[in-house]
Amino acid sequence: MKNSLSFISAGFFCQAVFAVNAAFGADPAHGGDASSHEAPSSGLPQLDASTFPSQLFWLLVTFVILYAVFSKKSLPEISNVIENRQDHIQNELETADGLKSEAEAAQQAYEESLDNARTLATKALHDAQNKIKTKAEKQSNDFREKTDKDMQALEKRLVKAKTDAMDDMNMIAAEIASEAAQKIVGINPDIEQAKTAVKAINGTKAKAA
Amino acid sequence: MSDPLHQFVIERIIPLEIGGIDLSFTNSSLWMMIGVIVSTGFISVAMNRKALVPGRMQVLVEIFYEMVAGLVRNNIGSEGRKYFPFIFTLFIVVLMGNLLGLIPYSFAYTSHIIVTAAMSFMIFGMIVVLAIMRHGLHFFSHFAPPGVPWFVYPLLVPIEIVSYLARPVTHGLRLFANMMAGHIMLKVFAGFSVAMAGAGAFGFVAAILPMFVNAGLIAFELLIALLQAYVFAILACIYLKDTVEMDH
Repeated sequence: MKNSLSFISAGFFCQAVFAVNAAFGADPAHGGDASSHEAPSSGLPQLDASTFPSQLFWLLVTFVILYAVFSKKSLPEISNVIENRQDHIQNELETADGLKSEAEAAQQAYEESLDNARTLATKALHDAQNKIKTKAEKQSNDFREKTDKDMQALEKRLVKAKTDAMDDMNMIAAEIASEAAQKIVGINPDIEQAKTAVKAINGTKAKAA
Repeated sequence: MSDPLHQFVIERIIPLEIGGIDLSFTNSSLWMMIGVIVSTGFISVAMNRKALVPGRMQVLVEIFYEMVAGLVRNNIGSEGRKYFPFIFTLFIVVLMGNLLGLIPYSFAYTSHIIVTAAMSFMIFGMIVVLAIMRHGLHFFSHFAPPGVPWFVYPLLVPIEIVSYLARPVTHGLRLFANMMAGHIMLKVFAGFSVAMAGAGAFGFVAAILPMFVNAGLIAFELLIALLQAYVFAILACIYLKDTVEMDH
């Protein structure tokens, strides 16, 4: 179907081309006759068929020269220049990319070393603080222990001194009481008895208090 | 007022006849040769230094190169690389004709239909030959697009053929008509200015107005010159796509 259609339209096309060709082929002769009869000034100068061959010939010459020059020399030159430029730009871009990644690596390394230094410093500081703290704790513990011991010893001495003093006081009180009793009443009381009495009185006083 | 069509008259400079055919070197041929020299000279001077950081002229040449390369790449694809020098030459030939034609007393060879038609029919012939060589009979399925009911074909195929054959005609005619109309308009306004200047003191002052209009028109024609060269090249690319791949 498709092929036969193509075939039929090909036939039509050829007929049309022949018809157009015949019409145009007849025309220049007519045109030429007309211009040779008419004065050249009348009508469009563009339709003066006598100038057609020269125009066509020189157009062909022009076209061929330009085509030869452009296709062999000018266009390859221009495309080379443009390609060179693009290559150059590409190269520069690649170099820039390389430099950028290098700079990034350098920055990363720098940041890493900075981080390391920071952790090291923190650790050192921490260690020093710990050391100082333990030392201070130990010293203060020692001091406390020593003072505690001293205090205990002191307290013991104090208690002892107090009891001694109390005993002495009781003794003195008993002696004074017995001497007073000797002088006033004239009896010689047993010193031991006096002591017990003083103690008893002291005990009641302490209770009352 | 002088004849605005006079600027299109071909004048022989060096008469030349080969085999009974008149191949004289004319003012048209002169400006074609000037175009060759200007374009190749400009490009070789601009690319002389092959600078990594381009100067002004080199930037201009590279812009044209990139533009045409982009046209070919976008419209034909990677296989269009082999057509690139052809399209570039086409673009430069048309551009030179359009731009040099704007110089006063010069000659715009692109305002001659035989020149534009020769280029468009050359492209057309090239496309048909290359496309048939590449696709064989399948090329003609271009005129019988698939996916339509069978009874549409008797109507569709002639329409497709006519529209295909109209391509080179419109392609060449578009450039020719644009250039001719522009040049006639410039000449007419310039003629107004001259005619008014010759008509007394008031006319002399009033002649400034069409002169300013003409200044604007020249700027506009510069745009048209570039645009039409671009359009001519882009259409050539679009048509050349058939030689690489068919739509269906």
